[in-house]
Amino acid sequence: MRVMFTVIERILPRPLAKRFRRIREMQSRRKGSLLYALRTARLYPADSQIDACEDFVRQFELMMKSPRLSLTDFYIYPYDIWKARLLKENVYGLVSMTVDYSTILSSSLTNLSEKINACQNIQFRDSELLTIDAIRGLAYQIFEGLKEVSSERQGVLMGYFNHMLENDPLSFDEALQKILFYNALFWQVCHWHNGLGRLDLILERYYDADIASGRITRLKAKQMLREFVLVLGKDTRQKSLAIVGDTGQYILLGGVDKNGRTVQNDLTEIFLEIFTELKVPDPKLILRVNEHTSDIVWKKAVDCVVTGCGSPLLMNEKLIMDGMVEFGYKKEDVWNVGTSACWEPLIIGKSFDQNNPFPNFPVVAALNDALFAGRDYKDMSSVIAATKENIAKQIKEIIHDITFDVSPLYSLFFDSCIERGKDYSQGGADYAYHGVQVVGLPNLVNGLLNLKKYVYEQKVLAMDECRAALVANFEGHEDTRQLLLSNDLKFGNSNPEVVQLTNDLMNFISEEVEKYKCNGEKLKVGFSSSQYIMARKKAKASLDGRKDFDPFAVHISPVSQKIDIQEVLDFAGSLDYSDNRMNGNVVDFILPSAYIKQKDKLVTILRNAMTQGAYELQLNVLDAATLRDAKAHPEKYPDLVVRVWGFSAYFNELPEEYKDNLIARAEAYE
Amino acid sequence: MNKIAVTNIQRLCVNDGPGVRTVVFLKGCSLQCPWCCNPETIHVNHHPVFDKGLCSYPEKKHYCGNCERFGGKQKLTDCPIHAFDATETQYTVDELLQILLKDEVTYQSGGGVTFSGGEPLLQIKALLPVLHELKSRGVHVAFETSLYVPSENFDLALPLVDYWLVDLKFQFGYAENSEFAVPKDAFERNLQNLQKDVAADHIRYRLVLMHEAMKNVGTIAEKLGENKIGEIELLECHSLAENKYKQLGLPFKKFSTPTNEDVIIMDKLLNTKNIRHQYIRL
Repeated sequence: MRVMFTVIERILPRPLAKRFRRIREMQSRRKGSLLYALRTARLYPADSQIDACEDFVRQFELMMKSPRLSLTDFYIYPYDIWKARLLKENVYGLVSMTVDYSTILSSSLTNLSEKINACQNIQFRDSELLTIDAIRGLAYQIFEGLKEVSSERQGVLMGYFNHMLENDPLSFDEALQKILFYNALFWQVCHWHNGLGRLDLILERYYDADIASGRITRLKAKQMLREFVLVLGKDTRQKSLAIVGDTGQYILLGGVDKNGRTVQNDLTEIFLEIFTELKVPDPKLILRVNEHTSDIVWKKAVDCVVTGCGSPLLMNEKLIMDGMVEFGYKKEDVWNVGTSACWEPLIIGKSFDQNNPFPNFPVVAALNDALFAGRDYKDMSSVIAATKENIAKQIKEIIHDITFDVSPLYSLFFDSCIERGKDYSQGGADYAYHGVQVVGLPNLVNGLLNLKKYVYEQKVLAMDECRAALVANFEGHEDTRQLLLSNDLKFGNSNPEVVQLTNDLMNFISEEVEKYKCNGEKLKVGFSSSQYIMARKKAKASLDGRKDFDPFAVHISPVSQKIDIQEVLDFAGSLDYSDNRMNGNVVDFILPSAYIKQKDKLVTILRNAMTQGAYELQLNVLDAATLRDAKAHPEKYPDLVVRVWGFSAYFNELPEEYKDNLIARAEAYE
Repeated sequence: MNKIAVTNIQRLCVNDGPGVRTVVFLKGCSLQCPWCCNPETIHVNHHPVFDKGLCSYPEKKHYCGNCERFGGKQKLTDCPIHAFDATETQYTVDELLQILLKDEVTYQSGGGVTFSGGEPLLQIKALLPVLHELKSRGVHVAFETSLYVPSENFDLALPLVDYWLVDLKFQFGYAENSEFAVPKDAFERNLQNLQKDVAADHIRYRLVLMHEAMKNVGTIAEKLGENKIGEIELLECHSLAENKYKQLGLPFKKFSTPTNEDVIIMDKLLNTKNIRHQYIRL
């Protein structure tokens, strides 16, 4: 079948072939045959002859006409999974954004129109006003459609659609509907990884008002939020980028508000309870913690984590906020730190920061290039110097200016687009600090530690043997590989030598990245990467004992059974995340079953981990025997959820290499 | 000052006393229980290394270097590929304290240090300076012990220990390790003093339960009653240590986990004796 499709694509003229391929991609993640997909899918190609914002508006208007709506649902979510807005060639789509839904909730399209009318930039003004018209048009169609549905709920929703676009919602329920309405639009225009932000903070006043007036109870609110979460998660497959589950739909709980008060309210607890009960991979939770995070929130967070659903990821907010200020974010803004899809810090409502637009570069290749440069190295420092030269070249190659997609839609709600009269991605947003990600740092560190010990100190390994072993992919050189895998000193070990080397490399990479800009703005760098499996194809065998195209180490995590969790936490706490090293630094580990049975003690362990300087923590609950069985008999485990690089997924939906990687990690932890 | 012989130090332990603890496993035990899951801790004169099965002897690899197996001076435990792991590290008081005090944050959150093994009371004299220092810093100290030690060892420890985890050996009687001389009535004498001088909520009694011990279930229950054990944790035996026995070149005796019927029988019997109990699967 695949061969046939490839032939079809080759025969068709290029634009049609592209369309066919796109529809096939859509169909692979949707129910229905290819024929059904060809009949149902609506693609909205870009027009490269006109201005990007004009084109966006043109596409948006077309997409909003004749919407296929499901009007009998509890909440209206006007995201048509069979519609796709296409971008021009070489335009990078917008990913990993978090609008501030408190701005959206209190927004009025009329008030926005008035502000926009005052813009000097006529082109911007026209695009924004037409976008507002299209939004109104869709809302009107929904309102008219609801008239045909005779039910009490639909009557309520009609009231919302008549009111909410021009006013602050009058109820918690209306607030949820307004969030879902706009959220659907962001997905509809093919912006990706649309985060939900701080819903416990944002919804607090609506919830409190309704509870005080007796309109709802806590239980009723929980039922509504449960419905809300299920709506967000019903299109996981279609909203996912690389892997199913990778939607970037995070709900961020906890953390300080603008006045320094730690947000921990009924809604914080309700969200944690819902995710503990539902155990869904998407959306997901992130929890900002500080020294004031309450026992009850910690306890409920742990209850959620031990289900294995992967939520919440824990953020050490003080460490992160301080780092952001040091980098260049304004002190008065960092209280509203959120993340990109997974973990890269940004400012909700103000950031256009693209966390990962450049190819992730496998640093281990820098050492390999040094080894095969036809040079001899008389000592370790010359090896490290040559490796650094190559890292510098890698960095220079991957960083470049990027042409990003535009978003007149986001421009309505992100600071300070209307004030500036500029599109969100074209200078309108307050921040545009994009990020670089490094993959395989643990593997590089381990390779260098091996060279130091075995070649230069103990002299039990010759450099030529290292080269020969790598060329042969360790075949016939199993002894050498055994040796390389046996070094006690490894990334994750808090031995000063390991920490010093790791910080030295991180500092070097940080300084190199600092030399460059993207679109005139400085860059962040992070040492956690989503590419630990995908980037492996770029890197052959390496001196940490890794074979050709084997996956890299995952974030900051133990790479050896001899390195226990506390050791890794000590190590992670010793790393320097200052300057621009703030594009996400995740400690990832698998919870031992003993901890799952002693949740109170696990709270202590996680709390202390934050106190001791961990940046971010994500936790998996993996049992190797279960995973092996699930790989062999997926039908027995339809709901098995695992945590992948920064999101959760159903194990059965993962590509085989990801399943194998998780099994190997679980076995290593046993 | 004597050095302290330690087999392992494990951090973030959650089953070894109140809170989250760092556990020090001491080398040497007055007993050699066949179900022991830390066999490397028992002997002081024998089985000094774990053999991981990686050694290529008699073939010499390029990293074998000056290994003693090939007539050189390099110890087995210095093997570059860690084909052999030592079962013992000797620490001075200062060295051990330096390691233990890394986890002060953990101790301050309701945890502490637990001395286990092996039988930690056998090295009490060498441990005294460590215990004094921990006490002066307010660190909570627990001991995991069989109490099968000379009474002077127990007496030395008593004022310095905050919490006692007593591993009772009523299943089959004591399997003694002849490397250590312990008076026959040592256990009873130490237990009586423990119960006299330490509050009941600072003592936790444990007993490893295996199916094979069920033929002695009546005796077990009687002994618990005689020794005034009001509450007991029954730990389900496991075979997780089988690989360790293999690596140490020791015979492994596999015990069966108690059946559901076993658990019910034990439950009924202990109820008749008013002994509170909990069955724990680790």
